[in-house]
Amino acid sequence: MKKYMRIHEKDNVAVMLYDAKPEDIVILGELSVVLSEEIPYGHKVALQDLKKGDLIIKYNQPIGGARENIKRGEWVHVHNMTSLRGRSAG
Amino acid sequence: MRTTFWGFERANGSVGVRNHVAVLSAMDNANFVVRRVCAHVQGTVPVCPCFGRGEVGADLEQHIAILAGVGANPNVYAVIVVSLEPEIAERIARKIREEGKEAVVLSFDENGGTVATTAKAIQTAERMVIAASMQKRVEVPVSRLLIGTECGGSDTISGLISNPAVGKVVDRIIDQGGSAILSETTEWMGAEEQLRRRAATPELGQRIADAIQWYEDYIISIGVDINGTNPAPDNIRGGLSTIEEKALGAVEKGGSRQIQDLITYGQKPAKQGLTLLDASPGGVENTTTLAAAGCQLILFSTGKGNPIGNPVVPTIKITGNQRTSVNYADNVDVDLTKVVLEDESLEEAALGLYEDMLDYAEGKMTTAEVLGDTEIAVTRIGYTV
Repeated sequence: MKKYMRIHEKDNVAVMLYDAKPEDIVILGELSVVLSEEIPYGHKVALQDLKKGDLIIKYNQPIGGARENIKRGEWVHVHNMTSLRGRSAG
Repeated sequence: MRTTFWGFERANGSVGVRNHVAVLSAMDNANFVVRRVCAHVQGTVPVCPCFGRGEVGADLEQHIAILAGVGANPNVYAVIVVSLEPEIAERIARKIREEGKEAVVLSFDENGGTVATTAKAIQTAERMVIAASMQKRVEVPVSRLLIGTECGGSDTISGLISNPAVGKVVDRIIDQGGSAILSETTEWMGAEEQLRRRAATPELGQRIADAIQWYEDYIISIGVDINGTNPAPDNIRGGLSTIEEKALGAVEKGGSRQIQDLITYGQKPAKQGLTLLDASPGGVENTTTLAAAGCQLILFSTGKGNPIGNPVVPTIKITGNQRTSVNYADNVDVDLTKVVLEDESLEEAALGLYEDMLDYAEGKMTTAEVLGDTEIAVTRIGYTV
């Protein structure tokens, strides 16, 4: 059974395919990431440290920007990232 | 791999995968008569819109175009158009007849109210269903298919499994000379680069980018933040964080072949291969759009689950989400969870989906058809007057 998927090797997030717990480990080739918090089924984990304003990359394309610094192993979702499209405030 | 299916040939050269008698309301004030007739006559399907009375300008024209498109769909054998008054109903019926199909108008004005109209519609439907039952399926190549794609109740798993599997089926159909439609313009937002790259000409690529920009400008112009609107709350619970993430998963449904054309709401594809259709993304709204464009089947990818189907077009609900496949099983037609649970490849999953799709083309019923969970909606622009 697959436990997680990274779509493109340049992506900086992967999708968890089960309800993951802190200390669970994501291994993708050379990369080994220890989860620092619970990440629900279908939600994303950061595969590298990200600074506020950095692009979140999935499908080898930007899917939004970090609203705050995000450490590798943290849950990436609407609480710490945002769309860059369709927003009157820019 | 099968390269043919058995379908119903139509006078205009199209091929249906169903042989429905459609009972269609020209406007909302006739819906109860339509439902009554369909409850009474086996082999009929109800097509019931909201609105239709007091519509003006572009709203009225697209109401007529979409309802006529649904009535003229290859899956329909004949149509009864029920209406309060006959004029708009006649405009719809005329377009259906232009496709070589029988369309009978029954208005309350001319038939003496709803009870008398119901009786007359039942008699007409009875005659049509018996005639339809005499038509035999014939074997035709897969190239005769026009497949609509839709995603509803999306989550991140849609973008990983069911949407890419649909895309691989679309490629397989196009490679055999068939056609497919990718619509839901808002859900291309963030995927401009690859859509542009796949467009047959730079000019077409620009038109696609402009169509997406129109929706983005519209959202901003009405003071709405797309965050929290699209993706919707259920999409967000499913792990989708932004419209870009949803879109990059959504466009996977369109496969990988060249994009031949971009058409607008109410139009039908003019070219073989993949056509983009510039239209709104609501599930009921978009499946109606695809039915009106002449699609015989809709491949409907769902993550968190979505029950809806179209009354004339089998709407095949596909999921790769292992929770939805269990918790929403009554509304799922094709389960692709082996990709996660048993490490099945996407190619294998897509080949299975292709074969399943041809079973549905030849008469296997979808959950939405069996349960009657079907609905239509025509896009609105402005107020009635």
